[in-house]
This record gives sequence, structure tokens and C-alpha cells, in this order.
Amino acid sequence: MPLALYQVRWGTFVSFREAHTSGPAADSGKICVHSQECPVARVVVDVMLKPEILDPQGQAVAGALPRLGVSDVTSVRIGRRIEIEFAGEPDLDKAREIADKLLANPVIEDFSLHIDTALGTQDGTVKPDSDSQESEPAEAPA
Amino acid sequence: MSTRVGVVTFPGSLDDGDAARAVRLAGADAVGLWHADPDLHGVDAVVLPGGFSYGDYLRGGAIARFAPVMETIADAVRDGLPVLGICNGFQILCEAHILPGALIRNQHMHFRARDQRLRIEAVQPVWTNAFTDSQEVVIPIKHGEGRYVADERTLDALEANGQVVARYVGGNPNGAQRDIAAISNVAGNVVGIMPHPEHAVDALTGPSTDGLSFFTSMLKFLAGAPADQGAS
Repeated sequence: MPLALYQVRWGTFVSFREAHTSGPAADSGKICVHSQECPVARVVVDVMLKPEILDPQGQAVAGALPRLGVSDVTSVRIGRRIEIEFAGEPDLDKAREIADKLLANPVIEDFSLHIDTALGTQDGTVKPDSDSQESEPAEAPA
Repeated sequence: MSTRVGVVTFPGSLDDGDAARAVRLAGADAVGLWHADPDLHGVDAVVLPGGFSYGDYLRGGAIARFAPVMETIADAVRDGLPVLGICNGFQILCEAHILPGALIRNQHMHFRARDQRLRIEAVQPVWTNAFTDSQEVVIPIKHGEGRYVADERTLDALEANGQVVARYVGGNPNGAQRDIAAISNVAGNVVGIMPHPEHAVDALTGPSTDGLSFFTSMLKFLAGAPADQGAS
């Protein structure tokens, strides 16, 4: 399938900045730089190991929590989140096919997906506190 | 006419060179097959080598399974083409559902590279006829995601059908269920093995020459030698 039709972003990395030249943001007549707020409908796929599969990575993280002073967590399991942006309207059926064939291995993983239409910053991070080290978002051209 | 054995190179394959060398040491011609080329160029068998195809992105073998060459191989497998998937090659065969189950992260979370004792559990006509039943061999392993898992029903079926080709002995290096190191499909023409037989083909560079027997078995099978049925 031509991946040029979609942008697939890996949930554990911060996305790189890129200008929209098509899609809903461009239709509004302005160029929208990713780090700014712009409305983009995307499908979010969450992939988790099936519950019967041992997750030693989650266990390792759980084992580290006491070092943070946390003692009442009984389980940690780690999956991955994938964000898919379509050139047009988000296609849940196509996304489900992508998830079933590639993003998740149905032998060992389950997935769920949903359309994420929230207006928000494109890098998906939580907005930092004012005294944090996050860099300034670029100004859009007037 | 010499037997031709294809060795596939994916972006990120590492052990294609050594696999080709093992093929030549066994007495056949090694034919380089490119992942993007669906043509198998008339080879009589195929090796999917070890390495980190596509950087193991998403899951080991998850992207390589969609390579054009894999479509042809999947069809050829149904017609009986012998295929040996080594390490990442085993992962690709499982992702392609040519073999059942999956390979996941080593249970102890460490990448493990060491010489490993195995017991050959199934002397099959195609890939293991040169071994004897319950023969112990030493073959290097080097992997971070080598833990074989499958549901209980699949594991029971593998055992019952004689599809467990090799098990780890002297310590399970990755937590694989039932100590499974290698399996075959039902027909026996496809074997997936986590250890690297191509790294045990001569005394100078490996812990043994036990790995060469996988390749000589396949050549014996293709030459039409009477198969050693062994214990099933």
C-alpha cells in the first residue's frame, strides 16, 4: 500500500515538524506548522500484548517504581500507540486492516483504535509548565 | 548440475553472507535473492538469514514479511519448496504465518550471544535427516527477541505432530515455551530456527560443525537420497 497517502507516527517519539500543504489545515487557507495547534483528524491505534503473554518489560518498569517512592502499583504492562493521518477523511476500516495486518501481531497482541479529532498540538505531548525547557513553537507565516 | 540455494537479503540482514558460505561448504551454489525481486531465479531451496531486517522496527520481521520475494516464497512453500528461516528469518516466517506462534523479547530482557546446546527432537526428511534422534549439538545463538510463544493448543499440536525440531538443553537462553529452539510446518519443508547453524560450519570459526548438517540434510533431500524417517 502506498505509504505516501498516510503519515504514520510512532507514539513513543516526538514527531518532526512539517508544513501541511494539503488536508483540512491547508483548506482553511493557511499553512500550519505541526508544532502549532491545527485540527487534524487521525486514527489512533493502541496495541497491547495479550493478557496471557508475560511482559518482562512492564515488570522491569514496575520494579523501578519503588525508586520513585511508589509502592502501591501491582502491575505495569507496556504497549505501543500509533497515530495514522489520512490524506482525506480518516478511514476506520482501512486503519483496522492496517492494524490487523501490520501494526499488531494477532498471535500475541490485541489492538483498539479510535478517531482522534481533538484540537491540539501536533507533537502530542502534554503542554509543558512555563518553567520547563520545551522549545518555543514556530510562528506561522501571516 | 549443482543444486541452487537462494539466500534472501532484506535491508538490515546481517548473516546472509555466512548463510551463503554454509550453502557452499555443504556443496551447493548460493544464489543471492533480493527482497524487492519476486523472482526466485529457479532456486531449489531458500534460506531467510539472520539480522535486523528493517531495524526490527515495529516487531522483528513484521515489515520484511511484506517484501515482494516473500509473496513468491509463501506460494512456493505450498508447493513444497524447502525454506530455512534462521533467527530473523524465523521471525519473518512467523509474522508471515507460514509457521505458527511468535518470537518475542527474551524473558530476562537481555540480548544473549553464546554457544548453545540443543537437542534435535525431530529427524525429518528435509532439513534434519543428517542428524540422529535426540542428538545434542552446539550452535551459537545471538538474539534479543528469541522467546518462542504460542497458545497451549498450538504447542500441543506441534509436539504431537513432531514439528518441534530442536529444543534448548543446558539452560533456556530466552524463556521460550517448552524450550523450543526450532520448529517446522506440518509438511516439514519449512523450518524456523532461532540459533544460527551457519555459524557452526567449520572448526576455525565456530564451536562445532554441527550446523552444517542442516544444509547437507537439505541437499541430500533434494538429491533424492532415501530420507531417514527417524523417530516421529
